[in-house]
Amino acid sequence: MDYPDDDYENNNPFAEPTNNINQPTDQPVLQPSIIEHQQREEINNQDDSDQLLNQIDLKKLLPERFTNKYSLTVKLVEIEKNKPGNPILKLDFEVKNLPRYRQNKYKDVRRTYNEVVKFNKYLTISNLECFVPVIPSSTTSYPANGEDEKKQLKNLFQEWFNRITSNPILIRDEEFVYFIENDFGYSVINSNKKQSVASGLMRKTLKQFAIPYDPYQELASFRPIIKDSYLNCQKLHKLYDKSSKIEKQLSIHTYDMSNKLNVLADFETTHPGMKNMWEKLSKIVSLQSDLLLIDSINENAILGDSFQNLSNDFYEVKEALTNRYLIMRELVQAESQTKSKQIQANKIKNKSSLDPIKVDEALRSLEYVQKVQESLTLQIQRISGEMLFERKEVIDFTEDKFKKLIKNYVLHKVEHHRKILKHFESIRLDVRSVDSKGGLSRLNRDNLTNLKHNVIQSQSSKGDSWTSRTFRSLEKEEKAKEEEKKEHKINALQSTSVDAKNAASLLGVATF
Amino acid sequence: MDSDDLGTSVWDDALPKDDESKSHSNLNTFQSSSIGPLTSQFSNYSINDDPFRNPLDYNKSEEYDDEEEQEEEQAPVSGTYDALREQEIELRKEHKQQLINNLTHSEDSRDQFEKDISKVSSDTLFQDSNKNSPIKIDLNSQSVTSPTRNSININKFKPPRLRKYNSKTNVKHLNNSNTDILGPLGGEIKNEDEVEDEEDVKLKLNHAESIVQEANGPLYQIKNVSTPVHSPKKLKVEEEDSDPNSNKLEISVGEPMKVGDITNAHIVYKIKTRNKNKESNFFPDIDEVEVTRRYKDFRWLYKKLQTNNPARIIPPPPSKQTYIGRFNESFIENRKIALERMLIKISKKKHLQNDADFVRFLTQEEINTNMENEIINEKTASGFLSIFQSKEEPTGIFKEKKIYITQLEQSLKELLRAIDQTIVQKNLISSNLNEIVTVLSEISFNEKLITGFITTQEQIIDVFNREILQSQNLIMVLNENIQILEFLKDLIDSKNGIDEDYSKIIKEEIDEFDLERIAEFRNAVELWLENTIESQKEAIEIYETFIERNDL
Repeated sequence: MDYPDDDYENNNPFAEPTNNINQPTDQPVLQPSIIEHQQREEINNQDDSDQLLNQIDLKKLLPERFTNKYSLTVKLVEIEKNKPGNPILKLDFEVKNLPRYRQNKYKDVRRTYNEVVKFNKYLTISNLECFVPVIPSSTTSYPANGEDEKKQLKNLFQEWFNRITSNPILIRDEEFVYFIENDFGYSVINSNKKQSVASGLMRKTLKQFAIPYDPYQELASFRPIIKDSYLNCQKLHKLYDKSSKIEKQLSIHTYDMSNKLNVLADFETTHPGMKNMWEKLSKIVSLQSDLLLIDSINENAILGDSFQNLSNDFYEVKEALTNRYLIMRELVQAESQTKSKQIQANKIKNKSSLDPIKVDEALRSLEYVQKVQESLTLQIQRISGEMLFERKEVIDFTEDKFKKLIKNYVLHKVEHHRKILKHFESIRLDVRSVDSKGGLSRLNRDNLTNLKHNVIQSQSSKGDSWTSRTFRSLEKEEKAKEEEKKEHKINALQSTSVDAKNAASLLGVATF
Repeated sequence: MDSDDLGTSVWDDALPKDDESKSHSNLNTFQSSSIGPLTSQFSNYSINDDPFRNPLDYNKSEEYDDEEEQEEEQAPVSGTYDALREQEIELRKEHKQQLINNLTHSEDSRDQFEKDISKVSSDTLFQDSNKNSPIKIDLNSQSVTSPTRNSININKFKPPRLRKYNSKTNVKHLNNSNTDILGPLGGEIKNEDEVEDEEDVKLKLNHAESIVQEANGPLYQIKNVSTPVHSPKKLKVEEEDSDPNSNKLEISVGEPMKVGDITNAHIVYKIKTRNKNKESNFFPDIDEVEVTRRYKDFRWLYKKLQTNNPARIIPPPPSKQTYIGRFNESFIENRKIALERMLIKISKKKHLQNDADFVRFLTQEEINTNMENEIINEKTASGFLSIFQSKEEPTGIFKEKKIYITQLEQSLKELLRAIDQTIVQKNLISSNLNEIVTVLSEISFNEKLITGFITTQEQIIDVFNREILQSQNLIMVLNENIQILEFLKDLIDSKNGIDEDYSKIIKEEIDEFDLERIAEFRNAVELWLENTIESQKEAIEIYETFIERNDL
């Protein structure tokens, strides 16, 4: 969304120079893809050109997209404990230039999760032109009410609020005012606003019909992609859930194995070296079992839950695209109706005797049908225009999300394996010293009396001994975090307003 | 394996079975030379030994070739001097033996071995060239008188000498190898003199060959390296008194093949045996022999050996498996490895390696392994047990041993079950991860990143599967030991009413087993540990590279 003018390099030799002229100076440039799309469509499909949107139309249809004047920011301050599955979100709002709000800032607005879900549903129904993101589930795979769960939920909810408030159409929904300003609790005020498109069985039947012709290539190809992603994410969610369950089982059995090793150590009365080996092995295996449990939780919390949320999101995107098709079909119907009315009117016109009542009625119905057609055309144009914007947003968000997820997952895996490696390496000597021969580690060595060869931890501070690679993901992460902290501190020092938290951190830092 | 062939051929030339004098004279050089070259360190010892030996070699060679005790009888006048020197030599021998043990069982590199071979062979060549020298005539004339004396001496003096080492087990080993065990099978007893010579020569070969075998063999075989030797003392005795007619075999089981139609489909394995000691009386004089056997035949062999060698621990075949999944690739592979372990272990056991049925099993394509015809008890306990049906509660030492064995068996079984369970789960995780990869490949966002991620996951699956495979070794060792413990339990149960000889053997076998068990478990655990460490490293490497490459 934030491409400056110069960033977009217009290489199209057929491009019309007027494209960017009408850009308001204070506004972000149109998505390149839309301009591209426009140009391509205009040049290649002369037939479609009247159906497609140009820049000026877009500005008329979607004034929200072409201004920076209005903004709404939400900060999730805290998640408070409540009934299970229904935590209370403590929110701060900051409103800029939006009408109907009584204040600019709202502090400590408390909304339960279920209230937010209702609000979310309302937004989805009443904003047909938007891909309204779905609020992530309030339960995670982390242990309930734990520190990890809180952190994860806070991130997810904040991310959701950011997505909602970054949408210029959604923040103008009047329901948002009620959502923010209601004092005690919240329930949807505009509840009489029902879904304007077909639902239930009707919808299912309509979905079976062939899709109407879609002049927008991007949107036409977008739905199958989203549908596949929805199904795949659902599958992945299930698979990771299963994987996590198996790993939990593995952890249990590994713990069992550790117990059995301990029992074995008790029976090992004849050989102290063996006893020691079994004992140490038992300890390490039990540690491994703990690590496996943690890993199973992490895996499911990072990937499993996220795929679930993504699939919910994709589902709504898919439904929004379906809605568009349903409206388009309405338009097609309206067009044919207009035609038939037109024909009827012409017939009457050609008749020798004119019945004024009939003429009046025919004209009125023609007018009505024409109006319906016009409004539907406009609606579809608005929806299509907005969806072109949001399509890009969804793709960007998803790609970013995937990147974050995979990174997070891989980092956890690295940590997991590094820990296991460390533990296992620590008992090498115990296994070797069972007897004086030193076991297999002496392979190919003639007179190696020193049992301690090659038992140095392979993950020293100098890097990993088995590779020349100097890069270490976890260290890099820590450095990045520290730098962030430092920046934060500098910011805190520079900030003029000193609140309680800043003061504490300032006092905590020695400044001499 | 060129070096092997080279070694054997040289020996065959140098040591024709019936040429007493030659083998005799060879011996002297080997005692000093073949030990020497193993490592430079030992050259000191061998050189120190030589001044004592060399001048005496020409006068009283036999006395030094055999045990030094002989001198006491032969020359009572010089008794004190001889006794002193005998002690000295004994000490030195012992020390030397220890060092050799350390050496041979620490698996010298192949280069080292080849060096040895070349040195040894050069010595033989030298010896050969001296065939016509006058020395040889001297030796011949002396050795003519030696046999009778030697045979008497050995019978008289060996036992007391053995007592020095205070090891009951080994005394029994000796007794058995000379009388009991070889009795029916061993046939004619060879000239003691020659026996001694051959044995020593073979010992050197044994070492060299075992090194090569270990160097070339697959990983799992490694445990065999240190199993036979626990304490150097014990080994020494065994080596010196080992059966001169022992086979030296190199056995490999391979090429599992599915044969038969639906009704009697089964897997057959090819057993290749290379004969390294053609002079053996118990093994046909062939270089290499190959037979095809199925699992059932291995069980037949196991039972046969049990009947033939009552109260001995026979390395057991892998346990029976369920009907379903018996053509599973990894199962067949594991079974193949276990069967090979069984044969190799049998071939290394003094009491079993010359068993006629074992040899028959290895060499004759057609054997009737039909259980009914052979009249073998279906009970897992050996046939000999059925003769003594008494199942009274054991007493004394056996009572303690039985408690110990039962407990050990129980805890090993439980451990095995736990490990089996973890492997079941690991297999599930692996297949689940495979499914995840399939679904991931259909995701149409971030294609480059996802493709990279899929690659890491595929690599992780590989690492995971390898980890599963590698833990099979530990499972195999556990299985074997559980089977042996079960067998021992049955042995002790039926021990009452059995004559003293058998209880001695049982005790000896239990003690031996306990020592072997420790080495085996230690090696299996170490292998498992190192494998786990390596797979962790691999996993870290895969993920770190992924992060670095994708600049996450």
